[in-house]
Amino acid sequence: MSETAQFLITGVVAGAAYALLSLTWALVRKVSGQLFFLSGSMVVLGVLGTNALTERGWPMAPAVVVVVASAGAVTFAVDVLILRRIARQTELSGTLVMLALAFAMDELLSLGFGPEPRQLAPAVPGPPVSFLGASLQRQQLLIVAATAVLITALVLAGRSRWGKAMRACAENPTGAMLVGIHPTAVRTVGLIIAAALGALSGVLLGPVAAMGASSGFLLSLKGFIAAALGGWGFLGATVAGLFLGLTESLTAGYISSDLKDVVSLALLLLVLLGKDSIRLRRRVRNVRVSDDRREAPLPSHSVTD
Amino acid sequence: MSRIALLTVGACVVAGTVGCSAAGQSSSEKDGRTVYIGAMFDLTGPFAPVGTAERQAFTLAVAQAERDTGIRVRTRVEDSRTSPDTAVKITREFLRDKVSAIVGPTPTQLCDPAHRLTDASRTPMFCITPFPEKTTPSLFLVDAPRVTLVGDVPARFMQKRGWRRVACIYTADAGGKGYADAINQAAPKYGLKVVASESFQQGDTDLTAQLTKIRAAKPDVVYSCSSGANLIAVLKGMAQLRMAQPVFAGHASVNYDIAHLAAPNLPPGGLFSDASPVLIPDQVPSGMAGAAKAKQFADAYVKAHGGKRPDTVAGYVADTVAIIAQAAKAAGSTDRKSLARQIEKTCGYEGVLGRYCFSPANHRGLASESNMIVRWTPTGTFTLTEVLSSQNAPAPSPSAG
Repeated sequence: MSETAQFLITGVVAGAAYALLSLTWALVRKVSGQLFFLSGSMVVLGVLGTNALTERGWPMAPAVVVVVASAGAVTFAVDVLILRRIARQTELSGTLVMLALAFAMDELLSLGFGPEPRQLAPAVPGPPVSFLGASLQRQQLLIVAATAVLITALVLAGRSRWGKAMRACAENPTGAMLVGIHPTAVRTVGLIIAAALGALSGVLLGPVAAMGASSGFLLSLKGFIAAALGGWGFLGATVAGLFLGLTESLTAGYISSDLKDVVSLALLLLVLLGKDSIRLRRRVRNVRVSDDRREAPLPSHSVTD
Repeated sequence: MSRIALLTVGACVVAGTVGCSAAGQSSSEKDGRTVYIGAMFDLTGPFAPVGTAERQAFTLAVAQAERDTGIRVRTRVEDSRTSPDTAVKITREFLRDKVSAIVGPTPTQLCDPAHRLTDASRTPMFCITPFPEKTTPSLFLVDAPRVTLVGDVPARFMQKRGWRRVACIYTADAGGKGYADAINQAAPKYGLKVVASESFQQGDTDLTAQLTKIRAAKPDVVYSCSSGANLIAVLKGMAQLRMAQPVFAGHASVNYDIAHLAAPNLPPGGLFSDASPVLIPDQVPSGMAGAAKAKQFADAYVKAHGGKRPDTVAGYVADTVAIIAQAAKAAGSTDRKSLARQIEKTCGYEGVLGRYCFSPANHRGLASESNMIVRWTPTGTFTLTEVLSSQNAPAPSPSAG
């Protein structure tokens, strides 16, 4: 029983971390339609930057504020200098540029902070706490709580005027401009928030894992899988993140730890194949319907059926 | 006129051919006093912490080798980026550039494809890994075979401590699986039983699911079969699950950076690992091979790198460069084949890690005379706790399989 509880708790904590990162992917996808491969680099910037400042005697809170703001500033610069220029190009170009930027960012982090891994002191120190026979670090409780708060905030923001403007910019920039929304500004704000969120995730995860310049990629990949599984929505990504964490933990616990990542990637594959298959069926149905219409127009009720 | 033109063209072709062949012969091969070493370290990518330390050691070792031998060492250092493709590309460039010998790469997955290229040209290559199962006429390794280093040594220590049930948590890559295979092979010889074996990906941050299974298997000791900072994830997971068992850290996790990170997460049962003289130069028992040189090298390294202390891989690189320079001096030639033959004759050379003895049949030079085991301290340092002598190896227990 305690083993099952431990696997479940481990899954929820890992899922919360994945959910947190999936939000950065979902947000950037919403505002720009691009894939935010910089997410992992921002997590690492959060850890290495905060560690560098606290080792120089800075108190934790101002260090976190400066690092989160720096992540936003870096992303703002990247957006102005590079991303805006590729905004009108194909999705593939955007994806490749984002990937290149992520690798470049990792190298810069390695040059700036050194290649050695670093960790942060826990914000909530103390021995592990017991819950339903399972034990977890206090910092992990903070991660779960912070994830819940951030998700709620983002979901609420998504339903606000700003959220609607954000969606409008992503879906129809011209239409958004006609009703007085500035798509470029909304996009930039979205990117900055995503970067800040990534850095904040690093600050939260830094005490539970040592990270080096190239450590963000795997975590970020899990965030991507969760966002894709959840359909790129905030709530969907959160639920998918938790599902992914639980699936991985239970697979490692009851089947084999060798299959942990295989299962998460297989899930992504299944969902993508499923979505493609649904899309294909819809297209085939639409083509059939339009053919039928051309050949022998039917009454409207039979078409909508 | 046309005859003159023909002669001119002919002369140019001959001159060009001679020029090309002269250019093809490297300067090192011409004067016999300059050895040209191509080195590749992982200066970026997941192995960057190791690669950076290696490069620092390389610079220091080259200067030392020049002073000791009077041979001029010309170098070319490249970043293998923890990528097999890059390692192969760099090896090709080195061979085209006609280097006398190659130092690196470090990870097994880079060494395997790279040394296949050097075999064809008989260029000596020193991979900084003990993991390749077999050496070749051009491949040299500076440490004991994998099974001895990461299998027999920990198993002997565990047997001595009375720990019989071993759990292995390993990274799902060639390195981690190498550790897991080695301890599985060694365990029965020392009366140990591997009661759990769990894997994880490089960089995984939460290993509690795997460690929960390990805890259920009730091991006496946990062997962290991984490299670098993966050890920290193991220690944090064990602390979370309140596991009090001692931990034996994998050979490639042992350095001062990791010791600093591990310090707040030490298990109640203690954290142990093997150690080289370079790691603890002030604690090496007197008379042990390499003690004096290790102290000298460590002091120079600390002075050159702002107080940063060297680790075992830095020692591997230092000894490799010294062995190549010594061989070039003894051979009186820096031609690749003569150099390889001379390295095979190197026996009794005392480096910073111990005494070396190569032969045509033995390309693993470091003679395993004794192994030091250290306990990691809460201040981020190491304390010598045991010296395992290979002459007095404990006999396998009656329960050995």
